[in-house]
Amino acid sequence: MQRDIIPIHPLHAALLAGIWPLAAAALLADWAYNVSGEMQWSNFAAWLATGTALIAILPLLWVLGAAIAGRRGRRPVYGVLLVALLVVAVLDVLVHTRDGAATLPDGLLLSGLLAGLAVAANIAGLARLRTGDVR
Amino acid sequence: MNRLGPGLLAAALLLAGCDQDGGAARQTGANPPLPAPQRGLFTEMAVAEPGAWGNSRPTVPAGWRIAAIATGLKVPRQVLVLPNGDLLIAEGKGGGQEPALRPKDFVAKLVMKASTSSVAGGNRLTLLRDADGDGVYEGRFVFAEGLNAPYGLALAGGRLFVANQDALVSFAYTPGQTRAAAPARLVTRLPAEINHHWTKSLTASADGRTLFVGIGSNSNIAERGMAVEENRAMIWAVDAATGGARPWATGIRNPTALAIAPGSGQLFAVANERDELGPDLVPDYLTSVREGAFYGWPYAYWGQHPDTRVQPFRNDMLARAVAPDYALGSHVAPLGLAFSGPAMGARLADGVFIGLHGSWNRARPAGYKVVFVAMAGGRPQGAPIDIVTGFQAGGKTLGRPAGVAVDPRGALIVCDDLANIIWRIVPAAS
Repeated sequence: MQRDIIPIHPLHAALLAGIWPLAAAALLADWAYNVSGEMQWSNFAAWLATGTALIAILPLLWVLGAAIAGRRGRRPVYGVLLVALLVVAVLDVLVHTRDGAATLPDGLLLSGLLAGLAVAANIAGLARLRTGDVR
Repeated sequence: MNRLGPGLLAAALLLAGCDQDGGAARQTGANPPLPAPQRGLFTEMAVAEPGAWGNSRPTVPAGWRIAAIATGLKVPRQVLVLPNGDLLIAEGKGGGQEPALRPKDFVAKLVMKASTSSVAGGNRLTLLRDADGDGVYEGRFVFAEGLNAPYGLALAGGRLFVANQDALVSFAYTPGQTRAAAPARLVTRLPAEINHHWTKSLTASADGRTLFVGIGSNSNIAERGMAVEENRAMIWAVDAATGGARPWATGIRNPTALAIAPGSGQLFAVANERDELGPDLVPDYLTSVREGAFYGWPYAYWGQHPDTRVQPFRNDMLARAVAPDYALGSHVAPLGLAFSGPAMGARLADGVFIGLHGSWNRARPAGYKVVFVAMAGGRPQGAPIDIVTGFQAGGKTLGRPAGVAVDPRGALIVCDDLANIIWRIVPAAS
């Protein structure tokens, strides 16, 4: 069956695609702190988690705006994933306010979850963006 | 009755204390209960919102008197009673130079700013004089200015030593002088990189030949890495004549006030312990300071309780850690320490007065008062006795006690670095 192609605004796509590199870098930085004990990696992770939380708000607002305007939106799972992403990012930011190794292991696990959610949100958000038959 | 009286009084005050501060008062003495460390998603906080004293005064025991002998100062932190009865006040506010490394650091700066005086530190020494001994300090002079966040004060061998946030300096001093005659002379530079805990506390040995300088840590719990903690969280012994310095005792997170016990000449310190392990960890303390001893920071607290937030962890350092003498309660923030004397009345003659600046890392505030801890045979004994209270009222913080001193003519002097007032407290006539 031919699925509908719902185009995504380029800016929306750019914001969405911006999330996962931050989340993945947060995961890498937490992992680097875990193995090295070098505080600067943990500081990086704190900033990257904060960046992830801030940028995740924007595509979520886009989706909400579209829903309020009554436009045909993307699949509901995309919105659910964005909400989950924001919640986990905020938790990750709070865990990273702890001092020293108190960010471990929670921060490392949350950053991993965050990176996974970011990839999933990209797949869900961009899934129907393909060339093909147009109605 | 004489033996029982103070005990009963202490017990009553202890119970009253529990109601006010949610258990911090129980965490005093040589063997404080230590709950398991806890830290959820949020740091437990209660920001002290400043208010004005107006016509009100701090509360003192029945029959005692309290008066403001100087107002409008510029962040008075420590006070020294000079041999002729003059009071020397160190005014200053240091730090603030540390870079924000994490998003959290921005928030922490705002919190600290909201709970301290908005007045800029004076970077000076003010001298107060009560020439006729009536308890009114009619003389007020600027003894020295242009200092760099002066804090610790000591008089030794005819020189006045001042611990700035970056250097120990000295002035020639003759009794009666109201203004330094010559510029300060450098004794030794002090560790000042970052200066997270900037206050440099100071006292002189009984023979005046050694100066003890307290140097606070550069972080809560080494979260800036151990490289920046070199020569931090320790007490230095400085040769007064040559300026040569060596570590005297280490692992003391923030030794904010030092004093020498009269008679024995033993060095004592009060110290501010680490935060963010819960409302009832870690107790701040009063301790005699043993030469060469390691008091635990950052690897251990209260003896050999490990703090696993420090990585890489050092089990060899954990094994070396010794426990301090006497817990004052968690987060109470002692900033002042002074030995009492006969002029304070027979009941309070042997012991120390301690100014407790008050907590931030606790939903129910603790500290915000001046207490007396009795000593027997050179060891702190019994529960602390409240001497000056009422610094918080109606949800506002009216003042915060910092440095304290005992005037041998029979008065307790307290620096209030929030209201910028010097309080003079006179015991009831016995």
